[in-house]
Amino acid sequence: MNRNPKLGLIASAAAALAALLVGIGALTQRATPPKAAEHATVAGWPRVIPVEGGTVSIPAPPHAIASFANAIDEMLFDLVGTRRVALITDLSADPRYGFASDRAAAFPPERRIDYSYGAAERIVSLHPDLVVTTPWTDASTLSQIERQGIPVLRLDGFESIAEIEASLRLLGQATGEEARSEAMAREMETGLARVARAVAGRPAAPVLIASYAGADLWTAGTGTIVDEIIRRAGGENVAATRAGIRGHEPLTMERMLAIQPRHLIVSSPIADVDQVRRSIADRPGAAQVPAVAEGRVDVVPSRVTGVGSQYVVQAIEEVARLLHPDAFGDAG
Amino acid sequence: MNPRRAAWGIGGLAVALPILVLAALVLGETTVPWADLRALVSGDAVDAIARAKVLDLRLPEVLVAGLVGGSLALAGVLLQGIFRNALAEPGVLGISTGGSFGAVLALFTGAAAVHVLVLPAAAFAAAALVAFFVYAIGTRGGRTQIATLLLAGIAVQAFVSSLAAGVIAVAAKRWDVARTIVAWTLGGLEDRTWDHVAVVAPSAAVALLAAAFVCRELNVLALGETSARALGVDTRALKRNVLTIAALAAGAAVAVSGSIAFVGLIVPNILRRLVGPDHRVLVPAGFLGGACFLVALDLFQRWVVRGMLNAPELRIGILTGLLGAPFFLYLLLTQSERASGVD
Repeated sequence: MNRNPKLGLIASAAAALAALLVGIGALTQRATPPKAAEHATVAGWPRVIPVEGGTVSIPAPPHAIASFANAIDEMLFDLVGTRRVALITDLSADPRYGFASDRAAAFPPERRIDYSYGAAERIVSLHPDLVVTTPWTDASTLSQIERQGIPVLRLDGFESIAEIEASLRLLGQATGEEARSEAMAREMETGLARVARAVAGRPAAPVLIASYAGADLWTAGTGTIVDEIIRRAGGENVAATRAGIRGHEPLTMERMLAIQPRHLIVSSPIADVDQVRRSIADRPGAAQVPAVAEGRVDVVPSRVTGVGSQYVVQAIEEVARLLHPDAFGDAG
Repeated sequence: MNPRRAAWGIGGLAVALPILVLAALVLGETTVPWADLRALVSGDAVDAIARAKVLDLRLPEVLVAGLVGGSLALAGVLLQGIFRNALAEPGVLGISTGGSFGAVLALFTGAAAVHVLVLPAAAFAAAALVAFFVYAIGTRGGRTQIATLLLAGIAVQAFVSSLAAGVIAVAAKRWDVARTIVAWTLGGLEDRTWDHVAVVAPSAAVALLAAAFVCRELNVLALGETSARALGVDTRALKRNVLTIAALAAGAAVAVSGSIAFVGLIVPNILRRLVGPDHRVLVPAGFLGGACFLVALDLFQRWVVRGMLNAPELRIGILTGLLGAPFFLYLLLTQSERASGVD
């Protein structure tokens, strides 16, 4: 064999370059977001959205929206449809945490993020025309995105129904879907009224909601969405009324003994319901907790207590059915 | 050794411990009436909730607090003795970091929910593995180089911490899992069960007993390694034994309580000032002192922090850091002032 070693080298280099280009091409293809709208003049645009501490100017109806929170993903799916959403949070695709996990799961992995830290480059490369964030999104990431001229809308509230409705309306304004957001808010009110009618006239059912993810328990008192979910579902949040808990706090067994709940709802990411029940029943002192002794421990997925979108109505109905099973008749 | 000081020190701690335990059984977020406690002790009928509170909740928690405190302080006494450095503590072997990593993995994978002992088992296994790894790196040809061991401890801790941080970062999006992991890594004694007592009690007993056999040699080692060898101490065996005992005590403690900082550092330093440096006194005093310290802190956390201030987020691991660090700095500054003759 009398082969020129240089030729081999050149061939190898060409192959490597080709592989690199193919790789880059594949990456680019995977990372291509839905086409952003051409900036043609649309009536009513650009618009200035008032937000806390200033305003956000949005030049045209956004068609490639990046979202930084599970709750925002769920709002966007129903408000503008998945085609106008460029990026969602990975958690939304997990049915334990997301109410619209089927639609979220259809997003390819490169259009989902775990969390925002250090994600500016990836987000910018998706060419979004609107980024919707929460107060806890990393400020330096947002600053990088804003420097690229991408409008950033921060939604502040997810801890009450009033806040969720306000966020929904703001999102409607920012996406040019005011009518749809109003309709969604009305649907929420209709759903809430339906649950309220179902549980009307029944005494408030005392209940303790605890969150369990493998070790300690946590509960939620006043000022949380969990408290409102319980009250709207025709219940009494005994963490707030009997223990005076505000916000989210660890729940020791001693505190549970003091509260003496007759009904315990445990939200958990653990799919094995019996395992969750056992882990509660095996705790020291659990035999003296009426809910455990009487077998009134229900388990719901984490999404029920972690909800921050219009699906709060679904969460309320789920809890109401546990508190007042006879109130829903054949509908359930 | 001043026998009078030693007797007063050990005697005082031996009296203080049962008093603290009794107080910890009665006081908390709610108070258990003395009458109920007396009835429980005498076997009379008592309210079922009060019985559960005392026997099922507070007693195992207080016992775990005492055993964890004692074990950590014992490990601190032994490590300070073997390193001949008052700044040594169980953390230098990477035990706390290893334990935290094991627990983080158990929580992240969901294994911790299978049985109450899975989490301590994972924490203990990881703590032991890390301690063994650090020891293996620091030991060449049967000789343990203290400087190498310390540096290896730092490097391995950094590595294992990064692994744990990586798992936490992945878990962070699952808010309830992340919350549980973070709470565990902050150290805590809430809702500990008799299973936890069963994990830590044998290790503490074995470690305490084994420590009694190395006290005299540790005293000799205080004169220097060369002198100790000249006086017939097998320093290689001593280092190996002491590190094993310390790893056993601290590993079991971390497995049931999470990372509780400073106990192994502060308690031995305070007690060395009170009862002197003789390990025959310092070992039992350290165990009793550590037990008193953590039982008292657990009582403070339940009664004052949770009960009066309603701040349950201030976990015991945070409290040991908040109280321990300033106190330790005070000790350090007064010591250096004394050494430099500053009035």
